[in-house]
Amino acid sequence: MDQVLLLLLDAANYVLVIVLVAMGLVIVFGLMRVINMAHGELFLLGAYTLVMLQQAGLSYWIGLVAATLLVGAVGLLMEELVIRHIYHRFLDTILATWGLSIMIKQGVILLFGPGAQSTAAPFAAQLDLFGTPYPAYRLFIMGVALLVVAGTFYLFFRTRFGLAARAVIASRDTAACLGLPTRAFDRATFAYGAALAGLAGAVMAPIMSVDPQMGLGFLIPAFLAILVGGAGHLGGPVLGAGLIGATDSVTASLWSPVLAQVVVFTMAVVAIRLFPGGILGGRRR
Amino acid sequence: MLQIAGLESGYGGSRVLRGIAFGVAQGESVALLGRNGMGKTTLLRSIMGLLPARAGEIRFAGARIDGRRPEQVAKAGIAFVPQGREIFAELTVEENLLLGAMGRRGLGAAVPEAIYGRFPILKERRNQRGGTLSGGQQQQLAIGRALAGRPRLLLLDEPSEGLQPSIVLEVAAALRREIEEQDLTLITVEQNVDLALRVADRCLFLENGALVAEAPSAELRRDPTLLHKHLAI
Repeated sequence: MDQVLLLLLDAANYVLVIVLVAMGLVIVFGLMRVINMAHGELFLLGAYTLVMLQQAGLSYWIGLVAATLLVGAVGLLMEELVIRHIYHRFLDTILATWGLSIMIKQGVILLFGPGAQSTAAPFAAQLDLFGTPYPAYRLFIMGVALLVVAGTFYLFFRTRFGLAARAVIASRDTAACLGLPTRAFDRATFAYGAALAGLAGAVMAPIMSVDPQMGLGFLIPAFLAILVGGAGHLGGPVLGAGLIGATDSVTASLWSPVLAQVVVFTMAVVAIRLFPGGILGGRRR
Repeated sequence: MLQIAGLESGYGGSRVLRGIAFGVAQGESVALLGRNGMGKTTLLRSIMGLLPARAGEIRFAGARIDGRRPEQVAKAGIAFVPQGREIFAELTVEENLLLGAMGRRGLGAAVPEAIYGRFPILKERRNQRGGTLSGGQQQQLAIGRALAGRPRLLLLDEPSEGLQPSIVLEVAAALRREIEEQDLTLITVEQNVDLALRVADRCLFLENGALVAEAPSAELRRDPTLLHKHLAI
């Protein structure tokens, strides 16, 4: 019983972490049609921001907020300097953001060296869940991920801002003719996606090795989640992350991590074959 | 209200508009007539800023608007209903109208109740998705959305396209009331002469990107020679 509960908790944890990372990616990819290869590096910047601020003696919470805001600002800069010139040039966005990802990663190596940094979680307590001890910080991460999903859905589907942003995405020219400031919405949407990556990096930093390669491990499952779930609707990647994360962690703990990779990729191939636009892709026009 | 002088515009290497010059007074309704491919849509898109003017100037309420982006032109008080209506099919009727109001008057704006008074069907269908409406209802929604921002000048591209005659009459009547009651200025591009003569005070004829003739609608009704000459009737 304990084993089953632990397995479920670990699976839920992994799913929610992928959702947290994928959410920023899907806003930028699904809504703006830009594949942001530098998303993993924005995640990295979030983690390093937290580590540096904590080493400077500031509290974890200040670091968390600062990482989110700083990486959001980096996203704003990226959009203004690079991305806005290459919207609608799909392949060029991959190349350009890949270049940015190399720049950021090498910049981090120059500044902080290739080695791993580490930082402590703000609380190390173990919570007793039905007789099974579980790290409270992992539950906190799950809570943050759920909040991010709920907040993002609220922002895009329940507010005036979200309505206007969806209109700009649906048809730029029409939105512009109505007087909506399309450039401002591009900037805000891209910066929001980047800020989520920064937040994810900072939240994850205490439970992983903070090194220049850390973004990669989450980027691949996040992209898979988008492909499987579909990019046309914000719910797609949430569903995709659920399928991939659950399959991965259940297979890994019952058999082996290697088999888990095989199963996950096989599942992704089958899902993409059956639903070329993603499982929720049919909802797109 | 709108003054255009020496306007040249086009796509890529081709010049579509050649030295267009005309003016429209406040509260006036003008129809742009001509066969297909004569530059009517290009002219509306150039006024709206969707297509850059290569030469000449466009003044609206005294200020130059050529070279401005579409959202700035919209903010200045010009609304555009494109050919094919371009409503947001995935959004509800009310959300479509709300976007029209928000675009010009900020995120907090509300849909003016007068829009629902003008087009009662939109009130009835307010929670339905735009894509589920019939062609005539979509046209009313597109016009309603444009009017929701309370523009001073409305540009309409082929409002009668794909509509049955009874709906065309309804749309024409709604536009006429808007012009008279709200002091709206209107420029309509039309193939449907019946609608054009009903809605417009004056008709301009476009041929190969240049204005070649103009006449008051009342005169054209008495003597349709110009209509026969410039349109394929």
